[in-house]
Formats: sequence, structure tokens, C-alpha cells
Amino acid sequence: MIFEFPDTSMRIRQGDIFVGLPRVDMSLNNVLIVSEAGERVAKWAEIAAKGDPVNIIVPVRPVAAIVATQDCDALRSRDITLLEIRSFKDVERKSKDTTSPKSWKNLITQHARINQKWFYLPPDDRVGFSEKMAVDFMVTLRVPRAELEELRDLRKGRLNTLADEHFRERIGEFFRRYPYDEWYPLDQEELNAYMTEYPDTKPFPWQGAGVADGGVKK
Amino acid sequence: MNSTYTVDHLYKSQIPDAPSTGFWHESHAEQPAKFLGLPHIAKVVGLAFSLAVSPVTAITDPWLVERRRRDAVVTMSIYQEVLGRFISRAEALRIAREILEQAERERLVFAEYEAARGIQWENHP
Repeated sequence: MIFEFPDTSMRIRQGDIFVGLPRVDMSLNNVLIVSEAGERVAKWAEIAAKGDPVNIIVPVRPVAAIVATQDCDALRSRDITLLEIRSFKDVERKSKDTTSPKSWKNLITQHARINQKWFYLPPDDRVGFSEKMAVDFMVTLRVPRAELEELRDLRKGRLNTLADEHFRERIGEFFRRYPYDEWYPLDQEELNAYMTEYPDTKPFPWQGAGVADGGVKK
Repeated sequence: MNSTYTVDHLYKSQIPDAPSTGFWHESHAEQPAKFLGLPHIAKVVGLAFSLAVSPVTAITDPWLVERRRRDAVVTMSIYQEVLGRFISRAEALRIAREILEQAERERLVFAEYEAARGIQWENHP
């Protein structure tokens, strides 16, 4: 499909897919401090207030991930940033009941029209993907570059040129997003329709009843 | 000769009977007159004023403030009890496992929320 299979001698670059990298999850309310005196549980705010480094216990799960760091930084930087890869059905819940090819087509090709939070990866046994997968842009991993270089046998594949270009642009688009109130340009009727779905919406001054274009009441 | 005697002997031998520059005397009675002189007061006041309005003191030094804050934190930590409450190793491992499971559960909930928003492609033939 859309993958290549680089030799282990090839350097790490954006779009490389690793299987079995550590995803760390930590809680700011329950930080598990470990010391010679024994284990303790504290809130991160207390540790931050002290300002001293502590040793903590964190849960780690081996996951599949794709290199997000761009190629130049992947050659030299201290750390490599990756994005977690999970089952497509878990990342895009709209697909949890999807079965027909037509519905799958609609879901997978949304990228051309919508700035999604994921990047689609098709099944491929050689990579180890037995089902449709997705890169979750919301979940990042960070590992030391030099030590990841030594673990290149965990690299199971790499995006081909077309997919890699698409992936690069999608990362850029995702992190370039900015928050805005999407209903701001709707007229009265459109806003009413919008508010039936999102009743908490607060209209802008120019969207009140009796307000015409330019925010001037008539 | 023991070491104590040696040290004592050396110490005594280094005390001169008189300073090499000769004996000298300073009259303390004359000093107040020197410090109360008008030119001297004007000089001190001028120096103090110039320091007070100096640009160096015109703004807060963030590094100094930060250092003082950290010093205060370190000083406080000496008197504070150890951070957090003690738990057993087994409880720590249980909490760690729960943190992992909760994180994964919450990601699914977020994905459900996101899926409920926006265009429902299933409804678009």
C-alpha cells in the first residue's frame, strides 16, 4: 500500500513507523514519588512549588508511533517526537460501526475538506497493521534520538513519498489551527439551526434579532 | 617534642615585640568633628540620592526576585514535612495502573465527543 521498508542502516526520518515505543501517561493529581524513605503520592502543584527534581513512578505502555520530527532535526536534535498510532475505530469514533466501502470512502477522504485530528494508515501485514489504523495528532511521545537510532529494528516501515508529503502537510495544518467560534458568520436563520444542535451557543452582537449587516439595528 | 609543643613554640615565635612600622596613635576625639562637617554630609547625601534614583534600581530585577523566591522555597523546605503521604509499593503500582487505564479511557471519551460533532458522513449518501 502506502508504505516502504527501509533497511536498518538508513537514518530516522519523518514518517518512519516504529512499533513498541513507550507512551508515558502521568497524572498531575497523583504523582507517585519514589525515594529511599519509600513511596509517596503527592500533587504536582506541591512538587512544582518546591522546585526540586523528584523521582517518580509512571505507567508506560509500548505503542506504535510515527516520527513527527522533521528530517533535519531527526538527524541532529537530542530528542525525537512521535505521534501515537492506534486503531482507526478508536481514534475516529464515527467509524466504530462503519462497514460498507462507500462509508469508509467518505470517512477516509475527509482530509481534503476537513482539518482532522488524525492521519489514516491502511492495513498492511508487513508493518504489522492488521486493521485500519490512524495517527492520533493529540498524543505525542518523546524519546532520545541516539537511543532510538539503536532501536531501528523496531522500525517496521515508512510512509512512501506521496503519503509522507501528505503527512507532513497534515501535521503542519493540525498545529496551525487556531480556535474560533465557528458560528460567527451565520445569519439569523443559520444561527437558529446551529443553536438547535448547540444550544449553549452565544450569538455575537451582529447576530441578534433585528440586526442587519454591519451590526446596525433596523 | 610532641606536636602541641611544636605548634605553641611556632606561634609564639611569630609574635613580634613591636610592629615593624613602629608604634602609632590615633585620636578618636577628633573624629566626630570630621564626620559632622557640612561638606562631608553633602557628599554622603548626594551619593545616597544618586543611588536611590539610579536606573539600576528603577526596575525589578527578575533574576534577583526569582533567586530570592527559590531561596525562600529552599529555606521553607527544611522546616516542612516530606511531600505527599506515604503509601505502600503495592498501592503505588495500583495507582500507576489506574492512571494508565484512566488516560486511555478518557481518550476514548474525547474521541466519542468529537465524533458526535460536525458532519456525520453516515448521513451523507
